Amino acid sequence: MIDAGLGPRFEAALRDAGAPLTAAKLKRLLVEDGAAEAAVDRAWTAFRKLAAFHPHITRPSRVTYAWSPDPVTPSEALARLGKLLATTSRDRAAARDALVAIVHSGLSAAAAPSDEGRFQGTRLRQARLDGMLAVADLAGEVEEMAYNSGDPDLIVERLQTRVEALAVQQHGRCGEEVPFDPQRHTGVGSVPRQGGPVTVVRPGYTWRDESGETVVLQRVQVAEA
Amino acid sequence: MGRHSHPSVGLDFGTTTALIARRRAADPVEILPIGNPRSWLPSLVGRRDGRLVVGENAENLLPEEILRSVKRAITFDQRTLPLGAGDDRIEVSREDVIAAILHEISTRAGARGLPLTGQRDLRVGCPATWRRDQRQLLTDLVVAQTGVDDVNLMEEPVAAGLAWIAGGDVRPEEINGRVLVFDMGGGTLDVAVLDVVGGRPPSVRVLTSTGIPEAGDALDDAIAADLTTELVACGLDLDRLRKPDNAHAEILRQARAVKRDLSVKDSAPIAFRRAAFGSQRVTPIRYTRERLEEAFAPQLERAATKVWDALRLARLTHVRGGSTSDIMRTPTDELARDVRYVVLAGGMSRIPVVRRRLREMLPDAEFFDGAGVPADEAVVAGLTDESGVDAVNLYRPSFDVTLHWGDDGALPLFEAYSPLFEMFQLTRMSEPNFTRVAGRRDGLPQQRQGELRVTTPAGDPVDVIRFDRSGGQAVLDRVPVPFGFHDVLFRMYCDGRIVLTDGAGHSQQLRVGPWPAIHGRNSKPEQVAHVPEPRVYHPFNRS
Repeated sequence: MIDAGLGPRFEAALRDAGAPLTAAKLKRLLVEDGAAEAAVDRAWTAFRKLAAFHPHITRPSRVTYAWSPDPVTPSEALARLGKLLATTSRDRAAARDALVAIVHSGLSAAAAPSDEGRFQGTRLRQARLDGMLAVADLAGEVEEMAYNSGDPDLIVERLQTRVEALAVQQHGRCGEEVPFDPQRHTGVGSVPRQGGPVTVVRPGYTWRDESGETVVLQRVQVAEA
Repeated sequence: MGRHSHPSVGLDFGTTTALIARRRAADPVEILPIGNPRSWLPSLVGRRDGRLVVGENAENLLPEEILRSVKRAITFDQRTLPLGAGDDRIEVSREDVIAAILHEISTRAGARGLPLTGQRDLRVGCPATWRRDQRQLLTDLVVAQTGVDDVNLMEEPVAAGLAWIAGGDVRPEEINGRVLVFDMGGGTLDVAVLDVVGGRPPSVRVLTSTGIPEAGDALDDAIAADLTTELVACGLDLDRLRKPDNAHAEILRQARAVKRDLSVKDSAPIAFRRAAFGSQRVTPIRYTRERLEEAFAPQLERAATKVWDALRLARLTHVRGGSTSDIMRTPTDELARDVRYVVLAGGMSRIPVVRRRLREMLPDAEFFDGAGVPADEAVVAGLTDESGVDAVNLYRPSFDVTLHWGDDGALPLFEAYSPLFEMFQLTRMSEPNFTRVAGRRDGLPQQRQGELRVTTPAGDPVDVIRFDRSGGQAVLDRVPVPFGFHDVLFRMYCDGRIVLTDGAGHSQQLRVGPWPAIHGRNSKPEQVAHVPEPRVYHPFNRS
């Protein structure tokens, strides 16, 4: 039996050390902390056996012990569990190994993404990618038009066309004066009264999906005229 | 195509792009992205360091190192394709090129969660106009590159029609009438005319399916030619270009872009890349929808002619004792009244003038876009259709008819997927049919007896119903055919009748078993219609 007070103190000392320790060093830390040397030696004998199965203790070398903040991998845990269930019975050992193999195989399958997982993952990625492609296309278009023509009106027109081709509808134009409609507009600064004159400071955008549903991407931003 | 516990997988190997989709029972179709970064793979093959590269990997090679629209090599029976230029030019076999694309598709699909190997229901689209050997070639290549045991080929416009039926825009029970499928993609225009009778599943008869190898690519070229003319008028000197290929590629790129822009706007500015024209200054120009439509007009008229042809052929498949010449002279406004629904598929159907022209032609029809999915995904969506429809093609029957004799004597009388007749033949026919006359010059013996067999392209026997003069009928898988002094005359009509006159001059009336319509899998014909007396003239018909 490990001394009820010393077992956790071995763990704590190892955790606090932050570096691999030899057995002698670990024991000395506890003695320096006030534990009786004989009691530490007795407790170490038991702790050393259990350290081989501890989920956070690793052996960086044959003579050192270290504390890992993360527990061991599932497959290493399974290997330690197999050793923990050591038996001299040949039949029991065979059954144990078979069970370990089943769990191990299940863990491997779970770790590798299934075909269905990859299929859905690819589709999800493509949905995001399509959005990124549209942004990249527009960004490149603006840059290229600016270089090749330098005409801001041309750039804005081309941009509007590309946006419309994506089934995104623009609402309002900068500088346009319209009556305030709280359903479609967002006031910048003070909130205008309904129907009052406002100036569009930024267009709004809606998108129609394949089913015909309209999604408001951005409301038209307006300021009181 | 009944319901399966395993998914149906569709492969749309298009002229410009390839797509893969999956559907489980009644679930919505799921496109598997196989491109990078797009969801589709460009149907391109190129050569880099002596090896073939595919898809996006071929996009940035020199133009002469790229093979585009490789599917056309099957359509046009090109056995090899030229790659490279000058001394470095080689001829590559079309099988190698197409196999490279299919292999890439299979590899990517497997890596992304849909391994094609082991799929039990892989369906691949093909143009409606392909012959049997062309279909077989694609089938063999798909089987070799994907590792599947078998492949079902489905005609692309039929697939688009099935996608529409299953797409939810209309209830399948309520569809009743003639459907025109207008599928204009990157490289081909396919037109199909279907008769659909509502139900679950609906009954679908393909009255005709036809097409022309001219679509989006041709319009791009026409716009590019128009842009080039304008640039020259604005002062561009083509002879002074140091790299004319770069300039041409840039004009073509802008042509594709402006085509897309003009689907949503009446006019669009074009600012050409300065680098493509060397030291020459090229000013931005404005291209209008009107000009696009002008450039497109000749092609669109050819497409319109194809639509009228298809509607005439569709009428001919139903003629019974009517006059072929009357149908050929039928005014177009009368033909237009045949069509109740129009299904638009293919990326080119987004162009407003396509829709407008079809609306002018078919004012009474209801128009449907993209079959409930984006227009360029309609074919692949239809390939995965799980509604249980078995479409029967009346114009291009999907079986072989062969005359056998002795131990190994065989003469094909009709090859699966051949059109029963062509428009130009109709002036000589009172009733449209496929006719084959075979005799000694074809190796037929002049004595003993042979037999007529009807088989599916896979070689499975198809039952033939034989009618006798007393009104009785017998179902046979082999029809005895005595040989003799006379030629054997084989005639097959669009309603499934076969009239066979043997070498002794006797005629038999036959009908292929699963004809003219199948309601779902393994079902029998609703009824066998009365077969009129054969129109076979003396001395071949002794009676």
